[in-house]
Amino acid sequence: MGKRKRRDEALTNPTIPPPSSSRRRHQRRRHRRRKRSPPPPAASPEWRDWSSPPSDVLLAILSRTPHADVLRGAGQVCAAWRRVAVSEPALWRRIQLFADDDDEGAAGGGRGVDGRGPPGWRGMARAAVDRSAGRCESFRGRADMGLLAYLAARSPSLRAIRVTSRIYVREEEELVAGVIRKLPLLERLELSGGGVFPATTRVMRALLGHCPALEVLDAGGCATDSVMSRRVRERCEERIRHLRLPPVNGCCGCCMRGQSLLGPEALQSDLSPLQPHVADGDEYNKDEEALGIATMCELRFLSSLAASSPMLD
Amino acid sequence: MAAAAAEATTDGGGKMIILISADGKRFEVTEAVASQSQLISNMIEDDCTENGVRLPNVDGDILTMVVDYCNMHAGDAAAAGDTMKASSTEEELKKFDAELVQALENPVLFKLILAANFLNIKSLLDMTCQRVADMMSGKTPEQMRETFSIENDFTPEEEAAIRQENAWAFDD
Repeated sequence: MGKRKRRDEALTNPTIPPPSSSRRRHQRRRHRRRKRSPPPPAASPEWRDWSSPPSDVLLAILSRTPHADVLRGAGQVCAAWRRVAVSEPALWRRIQLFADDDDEGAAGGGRGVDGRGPPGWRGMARAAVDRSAGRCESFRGRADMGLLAYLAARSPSLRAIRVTSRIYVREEEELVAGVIRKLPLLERLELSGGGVFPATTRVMRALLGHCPALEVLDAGGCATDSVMSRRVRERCEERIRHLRLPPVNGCCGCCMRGQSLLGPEALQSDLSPLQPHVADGDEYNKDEEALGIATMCELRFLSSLAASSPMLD
Repeated sequence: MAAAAAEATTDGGGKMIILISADGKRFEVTEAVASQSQLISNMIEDDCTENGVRLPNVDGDILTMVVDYCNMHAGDAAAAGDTMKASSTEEELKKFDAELVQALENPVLFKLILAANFLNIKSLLDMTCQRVADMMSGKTPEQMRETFSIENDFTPEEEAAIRQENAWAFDD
């Protein structure tokens, strides 16, 4: 009975909440009068309502609008829209901006002129991260190391990163300290746009130690200038379900396994259980074989890079 | 008597529900059709639909569209009850939805969104909100204001904040 009464009340009181307090509205009116531009041509009352739909409806609309359009457009239309665009972290839980491989990226010029991305893409991406208020769970789109560090420092709940532009990781430290250590929940790391990824023993150990949930690591389209020890590689293969490492010496990561004289089963007993955290300057187990290949690859890599990539000057 | 109407059954055998719009228009639909609205579905569950369901914030014109939509989609939402509706194939549904949504203009689109939100019909809300999102695609704030006839009501402080924000276009 009580339930029915509540419902009846709900039905007779349409749930269209007032957009703002009357004081605020009053202020706005005053401001409006002072404005130079006349109000738009006599709109019918219901048309004006676009500026103040219930906030859950506005959220439903904006959550279907590409993030670039929210940042550059919808969030600057009027006060009510801006409120939702700026202060609803839910809208920014899954950030997608200027991905090269989707419609939005194509329409918004994901690559931009000469591969540099559309103007202001970094600022927009940082704004998106800010608006997520620490609740961002996935990021997909154009990024460089600076942006990844910005994202990682502010997104403890981040579970997936997919970089669709080329990315150049020059120092393993900026990857380990700036990104990997800050993302304990990371499940997917995909560098689908290529670039350079240092798949070193240190980087891979950090990934295994700090990102225990990592299921997908795809850097198969990247180049690398170094290799990891065989032991760490075995651990990665065991732990990370979908693993694509940068090609080494013309072979993909998986082929390295084939090159070792002992099968993976023979090495199994050699694996020590993972430590939860890898200490700084960890005891790098000098694997002679790996080092040898590393040196060889590095030379090859550097010479090919010098010829092909003006980005790394 | 309203109770008698509510007891009436269709060929398909489902119980009928009366929906009453703000301007007093009455729509008789099957439970399966009406249940696509989560709001009405809850009311059916609580057994409080016998005198018809009054919807004081939904106009007759809009409710006509909502009922058409629900009739069309009753098949997939409640495959159990209504055999007649099972005849609408997926393609027909897609075509129907596309035509409905393309034909929507301000302010009907807006009213339909409010109705879908109030009645809590998720698929209709998804579709109509997506339409608005598509209308905004690639537009500047000024163009969006024009499209939706929205007044720029920012305070000078807010405008300053936006200008500062837009400096991001030059930060690279």
